[in-house]
Amino acid sequence: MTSLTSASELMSALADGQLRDENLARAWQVLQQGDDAVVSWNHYHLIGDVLRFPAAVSSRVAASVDSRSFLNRLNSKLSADEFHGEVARTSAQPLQVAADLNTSQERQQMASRGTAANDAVFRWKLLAGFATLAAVSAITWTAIGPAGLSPTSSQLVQSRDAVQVLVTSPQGVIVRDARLNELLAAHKQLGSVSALQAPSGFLQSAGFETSLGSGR
Amino acid sequence: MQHSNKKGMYFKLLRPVTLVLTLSFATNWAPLQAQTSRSAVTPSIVAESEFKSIDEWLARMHEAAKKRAYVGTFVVTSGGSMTSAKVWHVCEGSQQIERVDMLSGTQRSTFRHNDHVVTFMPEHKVVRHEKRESLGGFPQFLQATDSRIADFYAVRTGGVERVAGVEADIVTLQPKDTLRFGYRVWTERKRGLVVKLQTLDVDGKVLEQAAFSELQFDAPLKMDKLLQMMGNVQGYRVEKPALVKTTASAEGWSIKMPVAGFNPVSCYKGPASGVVAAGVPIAGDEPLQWIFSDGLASVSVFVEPMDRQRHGKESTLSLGATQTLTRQLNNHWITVMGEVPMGTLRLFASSIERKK
Repeated sequence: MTSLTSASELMSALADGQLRDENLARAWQVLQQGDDAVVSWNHYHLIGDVLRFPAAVSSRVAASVDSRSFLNRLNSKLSADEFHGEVARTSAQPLQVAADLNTSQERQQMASRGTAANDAVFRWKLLAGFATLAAVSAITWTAIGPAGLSPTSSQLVQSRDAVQVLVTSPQGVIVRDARLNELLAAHKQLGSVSALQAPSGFLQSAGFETSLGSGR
Repeated sequence: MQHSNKKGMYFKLLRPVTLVLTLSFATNWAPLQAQTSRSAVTPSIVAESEFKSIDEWLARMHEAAKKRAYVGTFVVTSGGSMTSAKVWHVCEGSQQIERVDMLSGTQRSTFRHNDHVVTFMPEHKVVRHEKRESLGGFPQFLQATDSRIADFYAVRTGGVERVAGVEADIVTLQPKDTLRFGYRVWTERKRGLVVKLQTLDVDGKVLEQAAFSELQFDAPLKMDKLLQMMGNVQGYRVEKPALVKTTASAEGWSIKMPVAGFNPVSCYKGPASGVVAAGVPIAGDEPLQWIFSDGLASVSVFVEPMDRQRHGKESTLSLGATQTLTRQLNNHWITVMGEVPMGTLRLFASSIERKK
């Protein structure tokens, strides 16, 4: 990380989890001092959310007041605690957090919740920001649309349309979209019309439901 | 200033995604590819069980599934994930019963008695009862689909390999066009039971593999014992998905340009939910499911009312051999899904038409 001049750039890098040492310390300072920094911090998280969960964004926007008060609480905790090194050390484990955090339903709940049970663990909250960003890199496959999108279209357009659907886990690939899960299960159950189905087709569909943990 | 910053952010996010995509793709496929190349070098031996036609071979396969009793472990590898199951299969006369217990993921036991399927989900103390028409015998199946598999697939025998401790003949079903995937099937030499099945993409790469890792024939199993277990639902809540059989045309849907080889097989809709919110009756949650098959591959077309909360961008998704494509059609949301190339799903998606 070389020269990061503007508050906005610092916030961008902070949201990306790229800051270490003195840059990190500077970012917290800027956050404590300037309203502009808080605004860009919120913007960058909003952008991240648009990329990941377009549907969840509206509720997130509605809850932005909440995130402001979170920052205020964070600031007061910051002045009382020493933790710069902590963040650098713990940022290696965000994926685990992400796995629990990343369904849009849970996110909506998070956004609408006043105080969480682990409210006192401010580091957890801070990590949540890194975690959702890190979760993006846990995608094994993304649905990029629309179907007819030419490969020459700009990356920006594609990134807007990318929706996180699959996530790898120790249990294998998990489909994050509950409805898609239902349809896949329905297809495997009723739609597996194949002369090759007996016995393997039936077994495959029986196995499939379980691997996705949902059926109808 | 603000704008260019945002743009920078998009790219920053995109970079790790692309990288991980490439990496996971490479790691997912490496072992499967290794398997492909191994079987490719197997010297071709003339199979003892020569067959005259693809239909004859398929019929033999189905007969084997009906007549053999076995216990085994079955492993499915698909799109980087692996699931395994323990299987018991018993036949008595025209009766067949099968029990499948999942060994990975959520605990689940599925029993099938002919076309009656019962699934136990111990975690939720729920048992689901279903009737699966598609599990009918082979001759009925061919009549129902009126499909000519041989018109769309070329069959090739290719060597012998040992799978789960038994000698198996390898048969490749090569698609004659680009609208479907190929298959490589391992059938046990003596009776023709399928012991391994691979779904291959256009380039012959393995998309999905299902195989027995361990298999014991003529195990001492009693049908009535399994039937008893199947019927013991004490302590479980019984669910019966009340899907209604219908026709696409009765629901106001048709297909402008039939996709070569794919015939409509069946069509289901969910019951009305009976829920009324703000004076407006809410439609049942189950979408219309219209099923097509070419005899080997199948495609489901799901149709449901457009819901802006739930239905976002039109998109495509690959999960092992199963491809998915979503599309908005006026006030409806169409999801096309099947073990076929994406191009085939596009043809379906652009051919679906509202009649009324």
